Amino acid sequence: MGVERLFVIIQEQGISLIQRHLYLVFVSLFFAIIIALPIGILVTRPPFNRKINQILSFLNTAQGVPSLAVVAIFLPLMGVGVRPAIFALSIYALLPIARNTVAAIKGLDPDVLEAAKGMGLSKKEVLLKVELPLATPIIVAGIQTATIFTVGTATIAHLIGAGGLGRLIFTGIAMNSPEFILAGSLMAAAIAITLDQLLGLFQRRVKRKFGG
Amino acid sequence: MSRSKNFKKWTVLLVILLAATALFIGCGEDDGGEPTITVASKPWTEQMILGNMLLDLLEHHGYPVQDRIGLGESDVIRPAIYSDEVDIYWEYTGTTLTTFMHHEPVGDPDEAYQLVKDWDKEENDLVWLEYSEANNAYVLLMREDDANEKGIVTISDLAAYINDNPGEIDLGCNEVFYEREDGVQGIEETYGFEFGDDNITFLATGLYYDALRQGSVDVAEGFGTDGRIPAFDLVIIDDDKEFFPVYNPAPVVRQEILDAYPEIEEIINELTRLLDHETLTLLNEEVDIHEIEPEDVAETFLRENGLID
Amino acid sequence: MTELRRVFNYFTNNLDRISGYMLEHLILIVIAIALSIGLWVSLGILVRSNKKAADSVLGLGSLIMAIPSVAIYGILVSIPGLGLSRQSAVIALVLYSMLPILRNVYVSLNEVDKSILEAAKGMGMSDRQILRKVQLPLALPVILAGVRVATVMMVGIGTLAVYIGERNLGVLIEQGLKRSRSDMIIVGAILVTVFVVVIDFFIGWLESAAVSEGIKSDEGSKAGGEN
Repeated sequence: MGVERLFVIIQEQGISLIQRHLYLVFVSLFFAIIIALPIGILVTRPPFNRKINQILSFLNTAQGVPSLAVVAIFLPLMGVGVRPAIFALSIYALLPIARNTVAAIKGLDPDVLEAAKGMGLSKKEVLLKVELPLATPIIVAGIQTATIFTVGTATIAHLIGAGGLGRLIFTGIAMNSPEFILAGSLMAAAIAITLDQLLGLFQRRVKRKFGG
Repeated sequence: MSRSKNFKKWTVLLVILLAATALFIGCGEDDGGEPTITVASKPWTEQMILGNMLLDLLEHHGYPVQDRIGLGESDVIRPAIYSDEVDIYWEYTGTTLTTFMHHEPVGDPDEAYQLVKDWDKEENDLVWLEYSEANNAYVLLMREDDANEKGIVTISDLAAYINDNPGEIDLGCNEVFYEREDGVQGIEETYGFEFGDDNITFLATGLYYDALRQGSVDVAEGFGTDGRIPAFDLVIIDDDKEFFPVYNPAPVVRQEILDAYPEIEEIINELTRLLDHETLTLLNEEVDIHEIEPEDVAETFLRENGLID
Repeated sequence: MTELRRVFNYFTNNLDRISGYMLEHLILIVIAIALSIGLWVSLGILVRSNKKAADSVLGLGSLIMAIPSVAIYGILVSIPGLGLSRQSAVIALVLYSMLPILRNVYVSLNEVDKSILEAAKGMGMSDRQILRKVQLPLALPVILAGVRVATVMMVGIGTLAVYIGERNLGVLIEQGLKRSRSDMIIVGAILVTVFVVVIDFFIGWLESAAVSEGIKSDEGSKAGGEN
């Protein structure tokens, strides 16, 4: 294997592929967060909170659905390209964020909530000033999980035409080219690990601040 | 005292497990007395039909076979057959000529065949059995209405259009096609034009037909005998300068296997003689348009022609 | 023909092929989970009292899990001697299951009520006996929970292994993508999803069965039924 060629590939194609990959990840995360958070909160309010255990259970199981299935199903639905990929990635990233939001709020000490109500806070104020802040560390952990999932799923997005680092890996496997494979794999791994570590740091900070 | 004994016991267990794992990693296939014939193919329709026909045929005649249909592209199968992991597969004269021999593309089927046959025997101890008349060449495709609108019938027309309208036309293809010598760069050189780096979209295998149909790209790579061409209202842009070499498929088998089972040569040739261009195209259509699985198409064909029962 | 009809037809026309794929999928997972349980439970037991060692291996497991599965496949496949083989697929699955199983083993072994451990020691049980008769049975449900997470993951990651040569349910999706066959994609997606749900429930059921076992043995040792 040519180590030189490996670096050439990384240099020539790496930048644009990483850009596309990160674009896929961040746009999908954005949509996932703005959808999952409200839904998660909603689930903890009546009348939905009567079914909260079932919903939590559903979210847990749904996370197990293979990423290839979620991504591939969008080909017949929406065709080839970045748009179908972002839909698929957003849905997949939704799950851990929603799940953690629900679990976090559900798991709060009821005494604390009673105390807050007792102090005369309105329902909305309880949510914004007590529930959400306390739930934040776990919610951020959910976002951390979602991010890692999404970096991974984005590598599969190549299979429905969205580009990204997956292209190097899959093409490399098809062409039996270790240089392509490793260029793609190492860059994808590097991005995943970096984001994971960064978010982990952030999550610990948040935990300290909001007393998780 | 019992603490360290405990520790030792678990360490031993761990080591045993690791050893078992290592053995598992190391172990491969065992041949034994009669060599198994490992049949491979590339992972697309025509290849899978052809591969399955070989598999069924050999199995019917009682040979021990192993199924590795859809293993990968030539870049995967070639090293595999060199290292004896694969014993037989259908390869194309054109592909071998340009990709492995780095030879200039050849337009004459007999000439191409003789060149690759001699080369593979001498260099790799691989035997090319008789080749099929069918020519599954690479083609460039466009949407039919789009091609009509732009007045593009030949690749020369396309070249002229692109030179007059730079940056307008997007090509969708596999990265493999881009890298091959009988691929994009060869076309550009022969016809004197360039798609332009920004106008090439790399797509996974098979997606180019979808992308072309939905309008994400304007030109796409394709296989001449693919049933999606008529089904998606696509049209082949004529290779007027005959850049694309002929791609006649033929079974390529390791000499060692032929030595062990010399009769399979004639058995397989009997099949190949039935596979002319029209027949192979029809078989592809069965899969691509009528949605019958390659394995079933292969079996039915062999049955209908009395090669198996 | 409506899409639903095509999907249904594809499924019924290819039942034998599909069950073959399902079997391959199951075999892959069984091999991987057996190796994983053996390896990671042993490792968890080994480091159960050593926080530093535990933190290191857990950190490693966490690191591995962050890496996209396709990237791990890519790296393994590039190693001479491995290539496109079942071994590569199994190794990837075993690596991914490290964190869920190891973490649950470590946490559950360390969470056993101190008073129970005291009581057991007081009865004269050796460390090994405590491990076997008290800690492990009590930890079993949590360990199973970890195995469940790992197995569910394996179904999904195993689906991707078709791109490195496996021939399981993922083939339906892979071929569907290459051949523009929405019916294959849909059948494949539905089947792997059903597969995941079934496995999730099955092991979940084992978990609840294990809890009752754990409580039973707990009562047994409290009443001094051993010895």
